[in-house]
Amino acid sequence: MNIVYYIRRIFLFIIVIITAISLNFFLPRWTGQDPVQQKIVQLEIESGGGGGEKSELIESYRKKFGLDKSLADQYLTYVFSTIKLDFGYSISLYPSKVADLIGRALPWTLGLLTVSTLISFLIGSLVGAYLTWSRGKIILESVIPILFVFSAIPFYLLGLVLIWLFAFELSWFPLFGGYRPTTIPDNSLKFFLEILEHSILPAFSIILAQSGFWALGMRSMMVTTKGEDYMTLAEAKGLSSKRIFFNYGVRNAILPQVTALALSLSHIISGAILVEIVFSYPGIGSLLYQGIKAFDYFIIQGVVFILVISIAFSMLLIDLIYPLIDPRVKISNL
Amino acid sequence: MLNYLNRNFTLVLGLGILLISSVVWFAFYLVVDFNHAQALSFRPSQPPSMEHWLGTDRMGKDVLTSIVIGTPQTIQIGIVAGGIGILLGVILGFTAGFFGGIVDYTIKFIVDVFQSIPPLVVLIIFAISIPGDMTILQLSLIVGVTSWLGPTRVLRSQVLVMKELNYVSLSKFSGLPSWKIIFMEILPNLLPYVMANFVMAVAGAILASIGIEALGLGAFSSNSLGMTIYWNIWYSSMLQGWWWWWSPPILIIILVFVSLYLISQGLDEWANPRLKTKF
Amino acid sequence: MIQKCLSNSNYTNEVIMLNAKNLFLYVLSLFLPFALVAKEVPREKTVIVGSRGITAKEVWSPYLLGGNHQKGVSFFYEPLYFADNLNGHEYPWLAESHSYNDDATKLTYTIRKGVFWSDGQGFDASDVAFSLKKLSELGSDVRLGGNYKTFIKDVELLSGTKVVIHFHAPAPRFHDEVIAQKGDSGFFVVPEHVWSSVDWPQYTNYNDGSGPVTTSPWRLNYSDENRRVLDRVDSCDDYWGCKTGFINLPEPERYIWLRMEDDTSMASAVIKNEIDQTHDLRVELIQQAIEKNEFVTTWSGREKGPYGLVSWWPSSLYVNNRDKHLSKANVRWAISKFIDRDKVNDFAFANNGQVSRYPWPAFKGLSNITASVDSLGVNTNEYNPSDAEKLMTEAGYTKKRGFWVDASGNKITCNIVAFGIFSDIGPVIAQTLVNAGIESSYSEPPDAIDQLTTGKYNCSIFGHNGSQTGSIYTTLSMYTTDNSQNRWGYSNSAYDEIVTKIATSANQNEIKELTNQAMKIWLTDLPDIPLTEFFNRFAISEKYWTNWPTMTTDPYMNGLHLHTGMAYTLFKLKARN
Repeated sequence: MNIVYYIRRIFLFIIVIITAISLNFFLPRWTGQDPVQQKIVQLEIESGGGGGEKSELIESYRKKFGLDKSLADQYLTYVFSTIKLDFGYSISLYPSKVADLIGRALPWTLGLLTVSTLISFLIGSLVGAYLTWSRGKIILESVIPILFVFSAIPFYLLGLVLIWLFAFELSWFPLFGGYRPTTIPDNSLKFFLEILEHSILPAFSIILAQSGFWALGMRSMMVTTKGEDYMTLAEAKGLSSKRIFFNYGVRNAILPQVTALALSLSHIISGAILVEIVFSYPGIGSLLYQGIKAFDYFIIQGVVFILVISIAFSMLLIDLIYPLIDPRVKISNL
Repeated sequence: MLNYLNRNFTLVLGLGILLISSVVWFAFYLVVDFNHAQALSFRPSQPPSMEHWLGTDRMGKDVLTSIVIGTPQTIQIGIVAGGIGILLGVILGFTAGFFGGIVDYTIKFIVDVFQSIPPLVVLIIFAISIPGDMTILQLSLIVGVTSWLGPTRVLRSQVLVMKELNYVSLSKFSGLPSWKIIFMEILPNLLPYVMANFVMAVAGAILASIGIEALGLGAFSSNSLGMTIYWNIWYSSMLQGWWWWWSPPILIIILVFVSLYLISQGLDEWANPRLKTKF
Repeated sequence: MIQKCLSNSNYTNEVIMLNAKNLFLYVLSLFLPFALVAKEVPREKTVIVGSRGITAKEVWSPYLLGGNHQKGVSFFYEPLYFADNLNGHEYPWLAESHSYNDDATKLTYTIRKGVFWSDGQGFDASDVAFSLKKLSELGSDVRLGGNYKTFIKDVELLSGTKVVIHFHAPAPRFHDEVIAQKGDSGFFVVPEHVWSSVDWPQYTNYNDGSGPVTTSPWRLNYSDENRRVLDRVDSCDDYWGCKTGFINLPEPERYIWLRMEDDTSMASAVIKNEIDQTHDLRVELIQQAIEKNEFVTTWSGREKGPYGLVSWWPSSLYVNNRDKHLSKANVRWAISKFIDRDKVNDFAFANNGQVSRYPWPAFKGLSNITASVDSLGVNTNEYNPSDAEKLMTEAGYTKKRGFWVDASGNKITCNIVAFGIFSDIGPVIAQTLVNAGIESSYSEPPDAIDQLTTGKYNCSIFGHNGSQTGSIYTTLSMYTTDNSQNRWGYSNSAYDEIVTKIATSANQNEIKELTNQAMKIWLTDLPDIPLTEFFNRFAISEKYWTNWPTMTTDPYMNGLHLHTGMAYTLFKLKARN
């Protein structure tokens, strides 16, 4: 195993983090907008908080959030506290801490996203592979265009249609949220089942939209694989169809798929954010959206950081594991 | 050429859909009155009728006119953004692949770094950072800035493959300047790939722009498909039962994406005949 | 069977997947917050409201910096008086009566006997005196504190039941505008024995989940950004009102506030009776809800509009008076006359809106003033394009290629920036202006509010945080030079002088005269352009609860859950069956 490869990968990971932190910090501030001012006035509109001087409130806020220090100062503070995973207080949800908010939202997103992505990856790849394998079955062949149409629709539009159809018109599924409005979260099985019930539609829209993509990708991989010499040999050896399919076909074709998975992680997350917003699912996506609307620097920064670090970390993992799965790719300098 | 098209059904299908849709769209474009796509022109939320083939929307615009004007706006975003993406992709990818060494290393490094950042998030941050109202052009630029990653990576590997081919090494020996080799030997052979990537980049850009617009961060005064979807969501058109307002944009988006995908598949096949599939 | 399953690689993957998913979800559930009291309360005994807007889970004090008294917070702070300005109701609660002295420099409250706090301590006038005094010291250091510091000179505790407030200058409107709990404001009394040792601007009153010490029959059960659950006490002896026979315990045993940002979900939820009351919704959504669910009703009932009640926040088209063109009164009047408000009403609200003539709401307590200003004979709602064109020409503008330009060829622009709640009326106004020859557009940029407060906007649509009853002094003062609410950049020294005189006068006739004088100037200048009343249109589901306050039954209180009268409404609701 090439040590240099591993060191390089980890080094890359660190650079990604630093770049993300910096971009994260500078971009929103680039415009020179004042989130504190914005928030105070917003409060006034929403809650009718009396007349009178707002300037003292604004000043004390700024001090509290460290917005009165120089940019360089703020940057350094930001870098150090981010490394400690302390994202500070949220402006719009003061006095909640951003880390708390993220901590509560993250499990929802992780659950929904991981499960649906894995399911669509598996379903999609298996379906795509199977379809290439057994040609001629017209019913199955027509599945492709359908899956394909679904993958052409953006996740969230699909989500909207699904909500309207299944949740509203047919009432098979709940309309919104992570769990029923009247329920108070606890550790019971009943609650757990509620979560399941509420996650079906969002998961379904992600799966529907993504499976087509994986199926098609897998299909082209399988076609390439099928043409390989070792496949002909395997057939000649008299191995069972099923064995050839899985151990020789799928196993080889899935490797580039895994790479594709790693590369499209950021796109998947983007789509998932929108799905969460559409379904009012209490995950990171909704939190980010809430931060955007309230123009809350700190929430936006915290969430973006977590997202980037998760993606970077997953990519790192995949890159590190890949040489183990695929012996052909040991010292890749590509 | 025509001979080849006969064999590449995917490409034909894709181009066909695109062509027919464009003709239909153009026919309408010539006929509609642009003023009808302004708010307050008619009674809002009217179902389809003889006067309004697709009814009117909540703001009093004629839906048909709005769609006819808005579709090219969306396509424009796609083409401009996709174009920027491909242009940068070609420049960076080719340079990296061809020259190798430190140049390659740097470019690849930058691509790897930015690969981890969800494009939607970057788009959102850019979008909220622009003070005041956004224009279609600004939107295209922002989306373009986030679409060069994929093309760069792909084209770079393609160039790497080509580099090993004999006729390229031969041209190097012959003393041709590098840029001539790139433009006259490599690029023409990679043209199908570049085109396929361009098409996918356009599709990706349209998708991203619709996402941003649906979040309410787009160009408010435009009629683009994404904005139409935004207004649909905002006015709960599905709940209200205004199907004539929410189905056209979705259908058109599907149409556009399907045809773009088919075209890029077809181009892929052209570039790599081994991928040929029977439909 | 199992043997066969396990040995067949096809099934193994699926089984693993299923187990993994279950395991994952189980682990996930471990991260979720716990309930304080997992008490089961049936749906029929719960009142659920859906609302937009997000607040941190620890915010349970109205004085907290960045705090908010909506979303259930006000329930814990019973008022001296409940009031409803729309129809002029007032209900003495913790106070029995109040009276001013002759020149309105002293205000005396008589506090009710027998009230006690949830921790067992007694409540009396000293808590009231303490709260007032502390607020007058803190002023703007705390939220809502400004008015107390400005007006209050001293607070005197006469006895266990009487408090006297001494003002710096006559303050005849203090009771109505500051103390009486109405709409979005009020005086929130706090227990001296708890609050004397805390830092008011920082104290959340969340108390790690046990919630505020209160006189009300409510206790905090659960709170996070997306929902808040309040439970009622079980026994009559736990609430002073019931124990002293003043009023029965509210019938609802639980109150849940739910966060719902999306109009469609909110409307769908009320259609399915999953919530009992919504936040503001658009007219057509409410009509849809009425059509689809027989239990849904509104403030104006089921049959006809406006489906809501007039709010204290009338909207107008804000024009930046500092703008080159918009600084001319003629231009502003012309713009006003170009707008056909009936058409706007038709388009934006399907004729369920109400135009507004002045920057104060059509409340009962202001009707005298409205009538008196009406007598000046200026109609701000007039739609008269030919008049408007005349005004433009007089101001030196000519029409070139469909747009009004000045002598140097510059177009007049009125690009409107606003946010969410105005998106039905915004595009309509923008288009009207374009049709009239003024370049305009409507957008909702994220920095709209920023632009508005810093005066960088061109045009906007916004409301007026002004007077609600008694006199329009607060509204008038918004237009004085250098007032923090003066976002228009309007400045007229003659106007300023008159308004200052009104502040210090205690003579009703004099005030009336001065008001008319000030309004005369205002009407000549027209610093902003009145459009429509702002309606709080919300839908109610009567499947589980009846006797909601509505125009058609008994409008005893402003019925929107965000407003401080909701605590009173809960006392009046009756369970169906």
